[in-house]
Amino acid sequence: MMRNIIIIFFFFFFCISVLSAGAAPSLQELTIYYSNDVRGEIEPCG
Amino acid sequence: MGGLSKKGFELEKRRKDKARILTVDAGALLFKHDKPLAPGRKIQDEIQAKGIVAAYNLLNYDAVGISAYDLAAGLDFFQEIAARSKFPWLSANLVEKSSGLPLFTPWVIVEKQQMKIGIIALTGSRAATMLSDSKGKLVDWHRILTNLVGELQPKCDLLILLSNLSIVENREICRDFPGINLVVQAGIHTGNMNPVLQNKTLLCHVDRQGKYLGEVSIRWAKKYSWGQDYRIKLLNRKRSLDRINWQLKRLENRGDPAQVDKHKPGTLQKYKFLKARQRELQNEITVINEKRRANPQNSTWKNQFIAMKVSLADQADVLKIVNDTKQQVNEAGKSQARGIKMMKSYIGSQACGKCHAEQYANWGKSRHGRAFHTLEEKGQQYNLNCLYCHVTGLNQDNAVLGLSLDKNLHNVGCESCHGPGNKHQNEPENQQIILKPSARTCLACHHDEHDDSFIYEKAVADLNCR
Repeated sequence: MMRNIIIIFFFFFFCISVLSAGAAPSLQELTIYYSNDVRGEIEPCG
Repeated sequence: MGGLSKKGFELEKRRKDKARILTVDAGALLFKHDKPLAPGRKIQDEIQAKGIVAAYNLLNYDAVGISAYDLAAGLDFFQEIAARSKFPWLSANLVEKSSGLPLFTPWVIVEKQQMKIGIIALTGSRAATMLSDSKGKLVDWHRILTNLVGELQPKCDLLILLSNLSIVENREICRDFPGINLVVQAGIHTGNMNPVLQNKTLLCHVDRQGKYLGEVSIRWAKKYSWGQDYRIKLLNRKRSLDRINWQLKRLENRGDPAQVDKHKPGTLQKYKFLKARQRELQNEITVINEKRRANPQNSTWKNQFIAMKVSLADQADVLKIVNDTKQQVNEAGKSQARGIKMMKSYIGSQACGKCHAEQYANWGKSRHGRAFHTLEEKGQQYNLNCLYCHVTGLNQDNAVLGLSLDKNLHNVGCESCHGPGNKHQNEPENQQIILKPSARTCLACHHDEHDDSFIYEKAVADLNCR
C-alpha cells in the first residue's frame, strides 16, 4: 500500500514536471517611463 | 508645456495604478547646450542643474544616462552633482584617463517583482570636448558594449541601453547587438518618435525639454522577440464586426432589404455598405488569425506620449524645489547686475514714440509692450534663460547684458522688430528702418521650444502696434 502511494506520488510529480517544462513562458508586464533631453528645463519660460 | 512638477505628479499617479514600473532618462538632463557654459551664465545654470537633480531625487528614477549636455559645467561639477543624486548616473565608456577604469557606474540591474532589468548607458562623442582638461576621457564603445551585453544578457530578463550616441550609431547597435532589447536615445532633435523596431531592438525617444513623458507598456518574455500584438488587433476587429452584425440584423429582421427597401435607396445603399464592411472585417479577422497561428507568441509593446500640459496638476514637493530654484536663479542674476547700460545704436521705444505716438500707445497695450512686466510678476526678471526674449536688442549669446539694461530697453520694444533706431532718429528721411520684421527675427524667440503654436504670417498680421 505504502509502495503504491509512493509510486503514484512520483508519477504525479513526473507528469507535472513534464507539463511545466513544455509550457510556454508567461509574458511579464512592465511599464517603462522614459525621458531624454530635458536640457536644463526645470519649468518652461513664459 | 513641460515642467518637472507636472512630471512628478503624473509619475506619482501612475505608480499607484500600475504594478511594475521602471523609470529611466537617457540623459542630456542638466544643461541646454553640449558645449562649455558661457562664463556669465555659469552661476545660474549650475543652480538650475542642482535643482533638477533635487527634483529627480524625488521622482525616483531608476537610472539616468550621462550625455555631453550633462558635462557642460565640467567633470568636477558633474561629479559633485552625481554625489548628491539618489539615482545612478550611468556611463560605460566614460573612464579615468590614468587608470582606464569607469568614472561612473557603467550598468545596473534593477529588479521589479522578480523581473530583472539590466540597464547600460553610453556617452556620445561630443562629450570629449568637455573632458579635454579633466581626468576623464571617452573610450570606444564597441568592445565595451560587446563585453557588457555578453555579461548581462544571461543574468537579465530585459536589457535596456540609454544611448547618447548618434542616430547612425544607435542603428548600428540595433543591427549588431540583438541582445539589447530596448534603446532610449538622447541628443536627437526630432520630437516624439513612436518606438521603431530595428532588427530585434525597440528604439525610443521623446521630444526635448520635458514637454512629454514617454510610456511604453510591454508584455515581455525573453524567449520571444518583439512582434505585433495580434490580440488587440483581433479584439478591435471583432468589436467592429459585432456592431456591423447588430446593424445588419436590425435591417434584416424587417424582411429581405432588397424587397422591403426597394423604394428607399438611402437605406438600401446603407445595407449594401454594411454587407461589404462585414465581408472586409471577416477577411481581416481570418488574416490576423492566420498570422497569429504562424507566430503564436510575441513580446509586444504599446506606446503613448503623455503631454506635460500647463493644465496638469503639480507634485507639491517637486514644485517647491522648482520654485526655490527659480528664486535662487533670479537672486544670482540680480547679484550679477552692474550699473545701467544702454545698448549701442538703440534708443528705446519711448524715443520712437515722440514721432510715432499712435503706434507707441498701441504697442504699450500689447503683449510685447508688457513682456518685461510678465517676468517681474513671476520674479524671473534676472533669469538669463528667459530675459533676452523679454527685452530689446539682446539674444541668447549676449543675454548677460540684460541684467544691467536701461529701462528704456525693457520689454520687446519697437527696435526688436524694426532694428536699432539711432540713425533713423538722426536722419529719418535718409535712414530707413526695417518696415516688416523677418521670420528670422520673430523666430529668435518664438521658436518651437518656447512657442509651439507660432505662425509667422498670422503673428505679423495680428501685430497691433500699427
